[in-house]
Amino acid sequence: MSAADGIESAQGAADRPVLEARGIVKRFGHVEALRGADFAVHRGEVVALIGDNGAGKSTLIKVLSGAQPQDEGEILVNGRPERFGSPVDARRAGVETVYQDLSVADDLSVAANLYLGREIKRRGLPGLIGLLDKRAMRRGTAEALEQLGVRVPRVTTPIAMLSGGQRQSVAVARAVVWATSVVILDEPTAALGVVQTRRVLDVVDRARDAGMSVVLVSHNMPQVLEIADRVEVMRLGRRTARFRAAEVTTDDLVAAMTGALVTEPEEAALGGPLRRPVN
Amino acid sequence: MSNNMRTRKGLAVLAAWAAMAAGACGGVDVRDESGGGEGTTTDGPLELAVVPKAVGHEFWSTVQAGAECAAELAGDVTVEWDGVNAETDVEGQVNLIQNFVTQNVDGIVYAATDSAALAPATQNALDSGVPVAMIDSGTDPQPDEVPLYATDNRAGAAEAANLLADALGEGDHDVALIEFQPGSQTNTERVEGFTEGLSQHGNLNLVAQQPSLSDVNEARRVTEDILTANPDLAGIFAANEPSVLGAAQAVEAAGRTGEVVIIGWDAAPDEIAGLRDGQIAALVVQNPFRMGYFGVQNMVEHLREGTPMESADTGVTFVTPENIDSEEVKAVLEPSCDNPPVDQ
Amino acid sequence: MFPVSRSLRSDPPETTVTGMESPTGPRDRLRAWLREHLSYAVSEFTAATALVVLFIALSLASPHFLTADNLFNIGSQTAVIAIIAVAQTMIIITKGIDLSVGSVAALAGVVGAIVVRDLGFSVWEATVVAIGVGAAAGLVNGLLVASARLPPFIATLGMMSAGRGLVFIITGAVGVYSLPESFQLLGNGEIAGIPFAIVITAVVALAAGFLLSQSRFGQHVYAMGSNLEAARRAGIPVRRNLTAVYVLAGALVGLGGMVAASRVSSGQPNYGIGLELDVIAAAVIGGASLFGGQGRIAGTLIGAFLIALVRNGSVLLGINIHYQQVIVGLIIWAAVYFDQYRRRRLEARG
Repeated sequence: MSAADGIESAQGAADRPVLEARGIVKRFGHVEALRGADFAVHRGEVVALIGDNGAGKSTLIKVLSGAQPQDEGEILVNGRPERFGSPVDARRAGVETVYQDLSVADDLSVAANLYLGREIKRRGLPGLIGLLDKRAMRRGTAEALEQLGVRVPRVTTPIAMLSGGQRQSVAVARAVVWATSVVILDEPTAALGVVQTRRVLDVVDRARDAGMSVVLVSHNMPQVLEIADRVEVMRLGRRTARFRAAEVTTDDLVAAMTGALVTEPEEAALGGPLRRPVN
Repeated sequence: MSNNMRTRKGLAVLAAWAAMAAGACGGVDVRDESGGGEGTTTDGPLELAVVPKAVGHEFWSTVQAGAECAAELAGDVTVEWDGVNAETDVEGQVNLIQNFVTQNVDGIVYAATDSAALAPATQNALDSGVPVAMIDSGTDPQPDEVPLYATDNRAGAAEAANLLADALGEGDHDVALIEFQPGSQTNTERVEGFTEGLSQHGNLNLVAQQPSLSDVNEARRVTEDILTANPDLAGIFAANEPSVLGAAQAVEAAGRTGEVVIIGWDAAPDEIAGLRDGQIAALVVQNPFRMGYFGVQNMVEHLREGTPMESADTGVTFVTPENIDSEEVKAVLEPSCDNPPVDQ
Repeated sequence: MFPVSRSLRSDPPETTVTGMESPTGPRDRLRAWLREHLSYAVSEFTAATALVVLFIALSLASPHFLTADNLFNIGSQTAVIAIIAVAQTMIIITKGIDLSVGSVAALAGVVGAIVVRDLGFSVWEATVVAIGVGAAAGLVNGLLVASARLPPFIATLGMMSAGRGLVFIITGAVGVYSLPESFQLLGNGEIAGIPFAIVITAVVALAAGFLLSQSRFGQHVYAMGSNLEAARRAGIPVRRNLTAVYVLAGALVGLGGMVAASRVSSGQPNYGIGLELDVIAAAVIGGASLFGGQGRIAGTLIGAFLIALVRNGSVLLGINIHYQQVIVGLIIWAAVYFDQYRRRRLEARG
């Protein structure tokens, strides 16, 4: 099924979004950062989440990753309501997040980072006293990186010795490897050069090919249109537009971000010019 | 072995020396009735700050006992006892003195951790109208109206060299010096006194000199290394309590007790025990009780009667296994306010 | 995980690499291996080289240096600093620092001495008490750092002062003497001709090294020091782990304090003033980074023994203490310079 069908008819069990947010409200003091925001991502699709600065993207990502629990609204994973009190809850539900600031430990090896917090212990007594099975982790890392096309000198190399692109690729790979439902990438290529960006996007491609759902926050419109299957646009704390990436232009996206273009009916009722979502 | 014979003979001579020295240092009269009061006198209760170089050693606790004894005998005198943790904390002591001046105590009795650095603190106290008496270690310069009640370290250390020479007897001997806090006035005086005393004995050869930093562990460490480097070492002069304890332990651990003569300084319980066990040949014992006592007593008289304070030597006693149980030595080693080791 | 649970079951994805870079060949791998091992071990390697050079030089310079007695002496003399430097290393790896080690060692030592003298405890019971005292102080440090979120420098600065004050309150500022001969076991006893203090140090170092390098807890210690936020996001219980590190380190400091007291057969209220500088120096010389995430027990031991050799050699050769201090200072500079140099190179290419 195509992603676009999902937008229109998300009733059947098969069509159910892998991760869905409904009417999320998040306040910081008197400021309402999210004012009933909706969001959905389906199995095997890459959804770009875009919006101008202050539109609420980062806040929504923090809610979806469990970093900042919402005040109102609900989050559904595979149709089941979940309460994300912490990042650990989100990860348990299968949602892995790669934060804008690298969430890897520079002094640890690639393998140690891939298994950070999920180390494999040895069998038997050594495992009971907490000893690590380093060999198994090295092997698992090598296999996972191979499949995702991430190339590092050695899995025992400390992250600090890798290039920026390699580091980010490892961070993304870790999320992809452990996620069972969705991988959220917050500006994964913001600090990278062209070649390194390419590498990270390759990892995203492969993850999608393997059936993973990916949420991508990005400012780079051409990149969004290249990698994403769908685009959801936020403005003033709500979702105001949804597009299929193949059918819009950068200009459309910019128009949506500035409020000149709206696809959501309730937003149109508030006064914006309505245009049907592109099917 | 002839070495042992010599040592034993030496100890006998040493004991004789010690007895003489102890006698000689017995009486010190510090009262000076000649000077008339110049400042105003204070009636009523007095609050005196008494500040040691550092808290944490037997020596200063005895100073405290002497100070409190004098306060008790004088009546209506409160002793504020406070000190820094380490003798090296010169700035801490400067601040402490400053604080007491700010509190406007009636008088300050203290031992300077650094003769130059504390001179302004003393002057500042005097300028604020708080009289000062120094104990154990004075300042440089020391104002005329500030007395010093202290051991003549130079003379005591020179005697220690003589004791060592007598204990070791004829022939050439290697000796070592464990000093404690290079740079401090007291340390310098003892080191210079000892080396001057040593120069009178051409047969004694100073082969090593290391500081303990007033830490028993460090004293033990340097002594161990000195013993390693000098297998023929015959004698050690250790210049304060932690130095003596560490040196004695190192000598014992090396299995050379009796072969290496230790002349120590001060009289902590374990030093006395070492003396009785034969690890230590003799101890140069100051009279810290008398320092605290004189300091407070003269300060009180100065405040109440206007008597000018005059410096005095508080004397040393040479304690050996032979004289350790004599009444005179006992009064110095176990001072109490019932029988203070001072001449009243 | 991913390869096993999903893609390994499905058709293997294309593994032909079509990326923009040349594939990693054997030569690149070798270069990576060399870089990884040489540069990360460079400060440890430098310190070890310095240690060996100094050892040979001293053997030539003094006929008394290379003797069993002297080497055992050096081992015993270094035991306490080495044990406490191991504790310091664990804390430094977490990006922390413990200024209170001297005070806590003194506290544990005097309490250990007092329970033997006044309560008739055996030396073993006293050792347990001393370790407990150290662990309790460590717990306070740990809670202040992990839960109250005080900077480690401040938390342990407070403990440095409070601990020393407690020592003086407990002892009345007078050393604890008149201890039975048995009290000297840890510091002066021997096992099969080897000083007990050396055996204790070896056991502590091996256990700590194994814990840090082989256990999950150790892995998390490095992770927390390297990137605390990443560790937290990875689901590592950072608060609990950080507290545990301080408790563990405190226990070792307590043990070290007991060995020190045992060695001089007394509880010394002034023990350990300035000790924190020695142990921090040992850790830093051995390659621990004050920026966290790096440091190994082997390096720290090398650092501790390097300092010990400088001191031992100085006495054997009759060098003034002030020169020893200058030499140790130069070594610290050199060690940290290498550390920074290494990091700059890494960042330059990363």
